Amino acid sequence: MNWRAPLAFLGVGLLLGLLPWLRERLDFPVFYLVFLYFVFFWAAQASSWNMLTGYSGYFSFGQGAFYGVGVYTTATLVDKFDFNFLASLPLAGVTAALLGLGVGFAVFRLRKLRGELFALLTLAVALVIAAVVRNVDIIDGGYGVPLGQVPYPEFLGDYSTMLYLLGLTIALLTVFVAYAIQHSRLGQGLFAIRDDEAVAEGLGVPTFRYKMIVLAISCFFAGLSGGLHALQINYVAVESVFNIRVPLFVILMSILGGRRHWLGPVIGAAIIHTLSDRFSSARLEFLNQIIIGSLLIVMILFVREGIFARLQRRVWFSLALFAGVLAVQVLGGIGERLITQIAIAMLALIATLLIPDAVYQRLFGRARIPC
Amino acid sequence: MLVCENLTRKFGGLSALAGASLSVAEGEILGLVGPNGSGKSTLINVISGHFAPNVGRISFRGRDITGREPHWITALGIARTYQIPRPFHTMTTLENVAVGCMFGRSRDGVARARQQARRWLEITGLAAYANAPVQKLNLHQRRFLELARALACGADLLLLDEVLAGLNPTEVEASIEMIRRIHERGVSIVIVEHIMRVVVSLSHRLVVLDQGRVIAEGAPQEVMRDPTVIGAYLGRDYAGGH
Repeated sequence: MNWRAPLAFLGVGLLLGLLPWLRERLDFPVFYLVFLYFVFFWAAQASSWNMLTGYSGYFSFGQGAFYGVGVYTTATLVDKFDFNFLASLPLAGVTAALLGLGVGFAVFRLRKLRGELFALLTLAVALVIAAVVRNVDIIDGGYGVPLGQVPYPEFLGDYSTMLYLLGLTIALLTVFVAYAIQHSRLGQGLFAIRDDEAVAEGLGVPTFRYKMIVLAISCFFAGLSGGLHALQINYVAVESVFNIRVPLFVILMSILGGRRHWLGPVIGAAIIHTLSDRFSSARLEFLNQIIIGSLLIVMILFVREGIFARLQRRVWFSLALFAGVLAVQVLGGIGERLITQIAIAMLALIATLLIPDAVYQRLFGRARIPC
Repeated sequence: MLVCENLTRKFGGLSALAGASLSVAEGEILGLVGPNGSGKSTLINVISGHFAPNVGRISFRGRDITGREPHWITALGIARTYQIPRPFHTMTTLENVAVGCMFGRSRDGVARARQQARRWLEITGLAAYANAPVQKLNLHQRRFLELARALACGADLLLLDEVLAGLNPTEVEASIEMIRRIHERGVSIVIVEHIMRVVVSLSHRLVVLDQGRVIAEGAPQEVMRDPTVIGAYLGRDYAGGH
């Protein structure tokens, strides 16, 4: 890894960080900040999940447990113990990481627990945690935790700006760590574990330690991002935190975007959140479920690598298509909201990315590198 | 270099190894032969740490390695290959070898490991396939990839599990040549092999396993004439008939 990557992440962060300031000047609706907060939240959650599952191949259904522990750590500390909200965030991450280490220590000791057994076990952990939270009064006890007005430092601006900036920071940090892992020995060791764990161990990869490390990092970011999300939810309740939404969506997003590359889950998160948001604002939730469900089936059957890998191979065509579809709508005055127009351009992009490589090459050709 | 004492490994009620003892000297090529099911592969698996022995002790250069994790044993300088090649299938040829360079005995970073890996690919004649997905390699090339990956670990002792099985005569010759070249680099080798002609010509010494026990060891030509060995391979009657 060189110095350029951290600088690039910092640059992206500064540009996006300027948005709330721009909003005050240009006076566009606060909706965009809230919308982007959710993109950041999902990007952090999906990246966190992908560090474990995409990189090491251990399929987790337990993202909800680690996210939920983060939500409830912040909620409990802030509501019951008058804890400083900012200080509670790292603690939310650490609590989730400790839970992850506990689970990992039990599971990774047993060599047989791979595949569906690991997936089931992580799902069981989520169910147990939900039951504990529902029944322990000091955490929730079944009544929910209303957070109301939570004090935070003034320089973060109004409530949506504060959520936006913190969400951006956490997402950037998570994605940067995912990037750094992919380009380090840890990442290469995890990829080897994913392909053949026994061979990896035989080549000198400390498989147990590496799985524990990546599980702890993955859970830390799930909890950190969850801790902040407690403020977005505001009224924290077991049913809304420990449901199927988070574990299911991180899987969807990562499979759509691609699990082999750090950018895959980010792209998946941006696309799926944008589509869901547009469909539900148009009151077409059923259509949303049909489209996302069938997209998942198509991806698993035909585009295992995810769309990012194809995007990389057809980068100019894809960008031109996306920009073209967007420009036609904006200039032609079709639709009223920029986000809707972007969502339509995304759909067009996905549709062309689903074209198999063989067909694509016949249709559009491709400069072949002489061997 | 490597000393195995009284190794026993049971699977259910069956003893794959039943008190096998043998040693490997520095710079030696040791041939490990025996009929099917005699415990050769189990022995490789036990030495490399994939199975712990139920009884017995293994030491490498004076250090006890009995029951240690495979990655720890690899870090001391023992590497192995698999009879059926097991490349990392989502990686390129170069990336496969780089895993050995990054882990094994070294702690090299990714960039340096890739440079080192290129060298091993040149030595094993796979340089032209560096950036190809491993699916493009045939069996012979995959076996060489196994060799390159094991060498990349910085091994002083290589455990080769049937590296010649299923190859055509030309490929067998190329492989023998390669094993000799690896040995000339100062690597000690334990070779498990079915093709007798090859083991006899390659090995300095032969160890014959039967039913999990060492039944004979010594110079290849002499061992092959040993009545107990002939008996184990062809049945007692043939051995007695001579």
